[in-house]
Amino acid sequence: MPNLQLDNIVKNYGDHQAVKGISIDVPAGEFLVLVGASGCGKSTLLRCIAGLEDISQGTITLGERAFNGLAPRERNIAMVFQSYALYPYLSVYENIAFGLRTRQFAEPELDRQVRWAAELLDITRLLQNTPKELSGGERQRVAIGRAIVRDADLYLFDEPLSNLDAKLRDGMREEIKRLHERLDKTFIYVTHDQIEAMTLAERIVLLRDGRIEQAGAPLELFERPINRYVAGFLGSPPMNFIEVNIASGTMTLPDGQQLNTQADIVDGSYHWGVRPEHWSHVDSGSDTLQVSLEVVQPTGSRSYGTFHLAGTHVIAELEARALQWSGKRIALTVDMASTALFDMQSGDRVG
Amino acid sequence: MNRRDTGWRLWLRFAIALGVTLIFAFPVYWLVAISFKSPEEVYAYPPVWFPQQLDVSSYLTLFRDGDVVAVWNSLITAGISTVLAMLVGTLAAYSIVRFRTGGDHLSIWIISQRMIPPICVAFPIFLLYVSWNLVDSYVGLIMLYTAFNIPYVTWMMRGYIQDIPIELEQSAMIDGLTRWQVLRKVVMPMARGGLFATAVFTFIFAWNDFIFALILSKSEVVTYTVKVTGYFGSQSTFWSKISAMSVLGVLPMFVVVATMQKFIVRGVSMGAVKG
Amino acid sequence: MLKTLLDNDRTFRYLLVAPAVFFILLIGLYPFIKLIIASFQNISLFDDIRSFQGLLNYERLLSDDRLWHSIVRTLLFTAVALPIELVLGYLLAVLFLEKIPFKAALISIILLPTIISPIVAGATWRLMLDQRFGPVNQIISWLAGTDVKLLWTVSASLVWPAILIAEVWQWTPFMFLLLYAALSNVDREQLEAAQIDGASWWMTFRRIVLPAIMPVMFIAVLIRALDLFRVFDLVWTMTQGGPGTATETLSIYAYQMAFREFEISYSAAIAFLVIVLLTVFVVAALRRVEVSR
Repeated sequence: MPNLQLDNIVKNYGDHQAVKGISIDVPAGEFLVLVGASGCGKSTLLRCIAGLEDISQGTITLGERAFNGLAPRERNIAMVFQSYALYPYLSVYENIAFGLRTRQFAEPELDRQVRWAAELLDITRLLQNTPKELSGGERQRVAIGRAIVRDADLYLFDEPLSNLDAKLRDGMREEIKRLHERLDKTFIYVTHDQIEAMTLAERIVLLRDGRIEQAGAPLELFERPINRYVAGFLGSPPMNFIEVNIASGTMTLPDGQQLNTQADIVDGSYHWGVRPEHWSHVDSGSDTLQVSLEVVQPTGSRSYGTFHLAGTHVIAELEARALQWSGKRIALTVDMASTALFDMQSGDRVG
Repeated sequence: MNRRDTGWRLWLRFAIALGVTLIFAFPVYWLVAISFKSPEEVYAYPPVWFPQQLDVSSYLTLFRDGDVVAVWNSLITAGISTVLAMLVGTLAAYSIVRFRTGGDHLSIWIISQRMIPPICVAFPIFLLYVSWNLVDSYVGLIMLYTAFNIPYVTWMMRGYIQDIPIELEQSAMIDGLTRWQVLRKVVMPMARGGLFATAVFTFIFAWNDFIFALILSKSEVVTYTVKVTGYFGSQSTFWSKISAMSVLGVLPMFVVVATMQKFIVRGVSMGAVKG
Repeated sequence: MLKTLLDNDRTFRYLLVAPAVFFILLIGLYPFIKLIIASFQNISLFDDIRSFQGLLNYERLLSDDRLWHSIVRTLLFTAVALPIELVLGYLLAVLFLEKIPFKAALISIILLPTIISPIVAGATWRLMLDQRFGPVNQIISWLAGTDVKLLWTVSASLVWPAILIAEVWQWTPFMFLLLYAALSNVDREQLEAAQIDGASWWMTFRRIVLPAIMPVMFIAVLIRALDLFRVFDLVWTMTQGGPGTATETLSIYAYQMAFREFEISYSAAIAFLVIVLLTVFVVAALRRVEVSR
């Protein structure tokens, strides 16, 4: 199975540059997720790999084959679209068989493949239906079936779950991950949803404004973001950023409260990044913050409490019983080792 | 607009609607009735509202004299030109929609061709046809009808093709289809309804044409519209023949429209909304 | 060869439009250019002389009363027929928007006149309006209580009403169908909201219904206006432009000039004038729509 290499890809639309020189090596069998806010160029990049868009500069190679100048059908790839792109005038069976018929598979082989894919996705009973008769989740399965039934070198997913409701999305996410493990093929998956990126990816490439912001394993990006943008993008609820002043080992918060910090850093002002789960409630003790909880949102197992430090809005993940402290003043500690400091100007992580 | 839907209001509305329908339908009935009347009944005064028996002698005359060949001529010219115009116009529409060929200019230029009154270009075309030896020929009329319907087909199909999600085509290309195969296996089936509706109207336009047929047919390729007007004499008018030939000329339309009704109603409204 | 051409997007797109452009150039543009050239010449069918005579044909246009009368006639006819068709079509559409038994069947019967050829429509109405055995005179006689024999297609004062009846009969269903489709698409929630707000019928019509059906109505009126302006078939069958020149429309006059009197160059000038007038009209109309959007 071949590796995919993207080398300095640029895509221009007239004056607008959607992709600004991206290089990625994708080893065979990897599950790579391209993630980023809308307009970051992730879908454009995927469509360039598929051949649906011509690239303006750079090279794409799969193993020994150069993709430049090849029509989509010559690239031996499969793709799942956000809108599913099922043919309404064909049955589910024929939809799945479409790519095989194009490649002139013999009937018994074709039938075996379709049934294998249908079995894998648990849609065998739907084979004779038309797409119109299916629910959103079922259509999504058919779309995936149509892709996996083909022995492609590369499987591309363009936000395949974003048209599903939350519950279905959780289920399908797990199935796609399992599918990757079974097929052992290269998956490139585009999403704007950081949870999908975190849960599915072996490697995440976070794009911003046509460039790679950071690439790496999900936990690497989560725990060691290289800048404030990456830190804020991954995690839900997102990381809190608090403007602090550090002078000789003491951190001064906007409302004047102070904490000790071991950060080996020059004195000055920074954005202090604290994830909600890094706060915890204590009855009393040294090196704590006193805050007035404003709103508490219980989710069952945990509760999210919000408060303000002067003008800064902060969310902290607290134990389930936190609801009873709503409107009260409580003491919090911070797991200082897990927090991050970002340069005020560049946003780069400095500690 | 959302009043009670039961009781006397419903039946009042039905009565009005039925009355209106009868007014619109009556002339058609009269035409058909005349064609089945005996010569005495046709010219009877006061008029005979219901023919006493179905007298098919008018039709027999048309068949005996060979006049029905005019209907056949209309069928050939309208039928073949419809197929050609659909093909040529749909391909152009696809190119305009998917590749933005010619930007806005090409599609506007094409549709503007339809605006020109036939009579204005009739004479140059006549001269052209004389020099090409195409007067009074199938090829001549078919070419003309094709050319005059291409703008309509292009315009209508443009709207239908715009409605096809582009992902369907992209997915097919990734699945291994060439552009040409995409057109045949994805675009054509997706635009099926639009193709039918447009084809029906294209056929009607060609079938109902009078001016071009009047100018370009002499004796060989006479269409039914020209034939009908030929029965109006300065001395005597052959009402039996006129009505019978008219019925023969209208019948195919009724059949086409009745079988394609659901496409047509959608087709008309869509064309106008998209226009 | 063909295969590689079809495979390349750049050539493929032009291959697709090529046949359409070819046909239109051949049968649309070529005659048009011929026409312009001919309008500056003096062409005679009987001897092979073609002499250039400049704007002479166009000067003649200006003083040709028969031409201007035919144009005024055509415009008047359009101005009378179009509003009638529009209003009747609208009323029918409103009626059929309600729940009515056998609606689909009634609608398809009403549409019959529109799909038959204008030639047949003309013939049908000549039958209907025949002074002796036509049912229209018969019905009028019943209503009047005496024998009435109106010479519909012969008498100068009745011949326009006769054509108007046939025209309205044939094309009101077309208006009806378009407006019916447009009205069915009017947002019901908006109407209900207006009802709750206590809007009057007129306010609802002006603020909600009219804006919603405006695009369709505009296209329908434009299509019909263009058709009416070149009306030929119907009038030709019913009167051939007679009596005298009482019903000679622009198209009929152009036909007479070209194919009866063989004034080839002059008829070319007429045709060119008509095309220019139409272009100005359509461009102005479309511009207006763009402005209002």
